[in-house]
Amino acid sequence: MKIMLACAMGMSTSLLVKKMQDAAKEQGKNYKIWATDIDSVEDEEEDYDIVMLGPQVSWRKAEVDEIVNGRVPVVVINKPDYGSCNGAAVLKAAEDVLA
Amino acid sequence: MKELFAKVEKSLTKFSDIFAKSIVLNIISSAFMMIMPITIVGSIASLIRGIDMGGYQAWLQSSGLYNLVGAVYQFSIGLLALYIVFCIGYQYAQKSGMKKQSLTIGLTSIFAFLVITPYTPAESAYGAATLSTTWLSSSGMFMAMVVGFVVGYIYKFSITRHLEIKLPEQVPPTIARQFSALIPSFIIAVLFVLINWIFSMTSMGNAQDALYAVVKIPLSAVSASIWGLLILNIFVYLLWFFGIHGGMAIMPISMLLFTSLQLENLAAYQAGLPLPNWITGSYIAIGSGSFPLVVAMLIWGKSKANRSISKLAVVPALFGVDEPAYFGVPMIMNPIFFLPWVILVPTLLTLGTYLLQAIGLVGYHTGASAGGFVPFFVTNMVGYGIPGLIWGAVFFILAVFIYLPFVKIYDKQCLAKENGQPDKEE
Repeated sequence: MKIMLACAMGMSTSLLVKKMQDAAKEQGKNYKIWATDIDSVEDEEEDYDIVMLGPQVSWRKAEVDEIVNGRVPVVVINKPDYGSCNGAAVLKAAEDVLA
Repeated sequence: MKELFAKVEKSLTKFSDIFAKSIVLNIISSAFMMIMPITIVGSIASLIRGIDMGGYQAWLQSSGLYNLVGAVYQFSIGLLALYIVFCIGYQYAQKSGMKKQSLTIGLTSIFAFLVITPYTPAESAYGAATLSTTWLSSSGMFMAMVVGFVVGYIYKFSITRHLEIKLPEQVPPTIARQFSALIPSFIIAVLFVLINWIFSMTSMGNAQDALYAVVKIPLSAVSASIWGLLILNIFVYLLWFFGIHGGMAIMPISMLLFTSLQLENLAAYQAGLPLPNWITGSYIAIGSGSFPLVVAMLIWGKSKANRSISKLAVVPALFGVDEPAYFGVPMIMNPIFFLPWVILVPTLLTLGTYLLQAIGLVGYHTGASAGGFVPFFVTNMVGYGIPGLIWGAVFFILAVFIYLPFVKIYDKQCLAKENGQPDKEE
């Protein structure tokens, strides 16, 4: 599974990415998880199975929807999970969407 | 109460949407992001040149470093308008479906900008022409943006209207396309030469001077208004209160308003001259929004939830990443923190900095930038020197105490919940 997170500059999401990678490793899953800034979503060359947006850039979701054009789901990360950097919860949320 | 919140949140989201959808603002902010490496390098160079401590300046000048570093400044920030012209043209292409021509449009923008910039022609066929750097730096910023947009638009126009050169059928289509690609460049060349010619007959003498005279008026109005800055800052945190990235939403506006003011100060600073602009959109920093609250919570928080989130959030907050605290405490949509977060602390910082400058305890902002993710004392040192460092610490302690009563109230609520007592609000 390839999960791409996006927020304003890729800074706060990078914290979450680390926690998600730890959770995935613990669960024995070999996922590729990374973060980028929302302006670079369009130029992203790696392909991804899902885009997860930081809630503080949720107001730009429509933009990302257009860029992605239905290829993969675009979801906004749940606020409490985002704030407490709950890697396991966000990982599960991604899995639930892609199931 | 929840309904009112929901309504305000909706209208704020709609408002931020306007910013998000505005291609013009997007182009401007992306262009400024592109040149950040240059502005940061230039800032460091100006700091090296401008710091005035003990025998430092004397040593700097005698060792020749002053001039060497001066070149770094001159050709980074000192040429910013030129870089911006390219970036705006480039970003226009990127965001208007002309990605493949981004470089061409960027380059043509530079060309167009220079055509209307006054220069001294060569005295003889083999002599060198001279171009003054005046309009290539902060004074030329607005023109740079205008030119970038005009050039981008002409290219877009040529493409959508299918302006083509019709060559006989025997000519391979690729060649015909090459010729057609020249059309926008020709239009631009002719247009800008025309602009140059028209302005040369006016009292201003050239387009750059003319635009600058017009733009100076609103700029001076902005630089006179501390209340405008205060409202802008409160608005940023109001957006954050509803979970919308405030800084990002208003960034194009603050870039437009404040960049040339900051650059003017920076130019003066690195030359050892007095700083001209009082209001530059900056103020003494105490973190980027959540740091004082997190520290207050670390010191006085008793509930398990608060202690754990403050421990998690404190280091990111120190480095300008507030989201863990904003979403984790949560500060967002938490009415208890509205007053200190959105109103009290921003007011303390904006008006406090202004007053300190009025009394003369702190100088004007140097215009130098340390980037967005450094601890607040570095930002203050870079922007205001040692006085900034000292007063920054003072403001920080004040901010922590401003948050204290609110943190205690929230903490009590959390403790009550943790101890199983029924909670009225949630």
